[in-house]
Amino acid sequence: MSYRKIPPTPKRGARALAIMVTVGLVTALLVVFALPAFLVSMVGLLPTAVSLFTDRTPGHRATWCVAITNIAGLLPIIAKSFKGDNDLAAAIELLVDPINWLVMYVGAAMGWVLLWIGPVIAEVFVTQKAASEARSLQESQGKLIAEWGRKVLDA
Amino acid sequence: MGVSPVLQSLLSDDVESRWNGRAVIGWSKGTTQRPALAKAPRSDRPPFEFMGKAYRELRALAVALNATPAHAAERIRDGRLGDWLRNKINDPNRADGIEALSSSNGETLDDEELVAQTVMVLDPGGPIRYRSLALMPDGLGPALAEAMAAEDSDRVNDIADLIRRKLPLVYMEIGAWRDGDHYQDRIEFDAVHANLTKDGLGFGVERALYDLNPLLPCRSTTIGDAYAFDLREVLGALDGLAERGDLNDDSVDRHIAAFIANRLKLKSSDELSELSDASIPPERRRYALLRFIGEVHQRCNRPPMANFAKWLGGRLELVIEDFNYRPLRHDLTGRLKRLAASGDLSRMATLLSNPILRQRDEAGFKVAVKQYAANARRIEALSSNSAVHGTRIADLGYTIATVGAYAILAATAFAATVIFGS
Repeated sequence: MSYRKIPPTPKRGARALAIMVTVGLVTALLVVFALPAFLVSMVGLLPTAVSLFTDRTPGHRATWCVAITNIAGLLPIIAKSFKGDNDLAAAIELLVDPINWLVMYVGAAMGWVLLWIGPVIAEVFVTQKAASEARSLQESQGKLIAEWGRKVLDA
Repeated sequence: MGVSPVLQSLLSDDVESRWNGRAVIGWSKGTTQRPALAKAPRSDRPPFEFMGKAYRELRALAVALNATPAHAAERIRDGRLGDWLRNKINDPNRADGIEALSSSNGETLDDEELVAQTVMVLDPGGPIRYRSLALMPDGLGPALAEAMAAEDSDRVNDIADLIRRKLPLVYMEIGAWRDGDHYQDRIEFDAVHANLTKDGLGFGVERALYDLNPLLPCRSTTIGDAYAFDLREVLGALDGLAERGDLNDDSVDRHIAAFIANRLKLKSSDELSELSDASIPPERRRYALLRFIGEVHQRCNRPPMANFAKWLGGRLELVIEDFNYRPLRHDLTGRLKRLAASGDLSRMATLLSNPILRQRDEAGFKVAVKQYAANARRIEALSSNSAVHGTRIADLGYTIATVGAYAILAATAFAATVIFGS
C-alpha cells in the first residue's frame, strides 16, 4: 500500500516573520511616500483596532463591518492628504481639524449602526420567509388531503 | 312367432342375444329372427342362505345383499360368501375378487361401499347398486336431474355419495363396462368427481348435474321459466330479472353458478370463491359478481345488459373507494356510469380490475404519504426551532451589515474620487 506524501506544514515562526516583514515594508513605504496618510490612518483606524480586541463573533465579522465603514470614513481624509504636502506639518494640520475626526469616527460608528440594523432586517426577512413557507406547506397539505383523503395522515 | 319370444328377446339379460331395433324391424317385416335364449334357473346349484332365503342366482343374490347392507357386509367379511363361491359353485375368480374387497389393501370400506362393490363382482352385467339406487353410469345424469326436479334430497344425496365414492369408476373396472373402451368416460367421470367434491358456488352436486347432463337447461328457480340453455340466455334472463326489479345480491344462485362454471369448464375460480364467502362484505361480493359475469359477458361477445349493468354499477362504491386518488375515483365513477348505460359488463370489470391503474394509484399514494410527512416535519421545524433560526438571523444580519458597509465604502470612494480627483 502506498501512502500519499503529506507536504510538511510551514513553521509558525516563519509565517509570523513573513507577516511582520510585509507590514514593516508597507509601513516604511507609507512613511516615505505618504506620511500624512499614514499618520491619519494610524489614528483614524483606532475604532477598528478596538473592535478587533473586543469582538467575540466568529471570524471577527463585526470587526470587518466596522473596518469597512471606518475605511470609508477615512477615505476622504486620505484623499485630502494626497492633495496637500507630504510632510509632518500637513499631517498635523489634518489631525487638528475636528471635522476630519468626526468624519473618520462617524464612519466607524456607521459600522456599528449597520451591525445593529442588520439583524433586525434579517429577523424580519427570515420570519416572513418562514411564515410564507409554512403557509405554502399548509396549502400543500390541504391539497394532499383533498386529493388522497385523510388516509395520508394515518398511513 | 308369437309375442312371447319377442318380449323374451327384448328383455333378455344377455346383452349379446338381446334384440336390437334392426331385429324388431326384421320381425315386423316377417323376417325370421333368432329369439334370445332364456336362461334356465340353476336348480342344481347349492344355494346361498341369506336372511332366511336361499339364493342360487347371482343376480338375485346381488339384489338381496344390496337391500340389507349391514347383514350383507357381515357375510362378506366373515368369508361365507367367498367360500360359497369358491367351493360350492366353483367360481374362484369371483371369490378372490370379493375377498380382495373385504381386505382392500388396508383401506377399510364401510358396509355400503363394500356391498356395492361386491354386488358388482357378483353381477357385473347389472347396474351399479348402492342404497336405493340401481343405475348404469350413463344413467347417473338423468337420475340426478329427476331427483333434483322432484326435490328428493335423499335420492340426490345418495347419487352424490355414489359419485364421491367413485363407484362408477369401480364399475368401469369390474362391471359390465370393464371390457369396453371407456377411456373418455373415465376422464369425464374424474372431472365430475373433482367438481362434486369441491365446496362453494360453481361446484358441488349442482355442478355434477350439469356435468352429467350437458343438454340440460339451467334449473335455477331464480330465472324460473326462462329455459336458459346456453350462457347467452342465462345473461338475458339475469338482465330480465334486473329489468323487473327482482335482482338482488343472491340472484346468482348455486344453479346459475354451476351452469356457468360447467359451460366455461371452470376447475377453480377466485370470483366464485369470493361469491361463496359470507364473511366478505356485500360490496366486495358484488365486485366478484361483476368480474364473474363480466367474463361470461366477454365470452358471449358482449350482448347488451343495460339493466343488470346499471343495477350493479350503482352498487360498487366501496370498490371505487379502494382507489386513493380522488380525481381518479371521480373519473372512474363517470366512466362506470357510461359503461353501465351501454350495458358493457366486461368493460366495467376490466376498468375496475385494471392492475396498472391500481399499481399507479398505490405508488402515488405512497409518494403522497411521504410528501405529507416531510411537509409536516418541515412545518414543525419552521415553527419551533428557535436556535436554528437564531443562527440564521445572526448570519444574515452580519451579511446585511457587511453588504451595507461595502455599499457605504463604494459610495464614499466614488464621492472622494469625484471631489478630490479633479
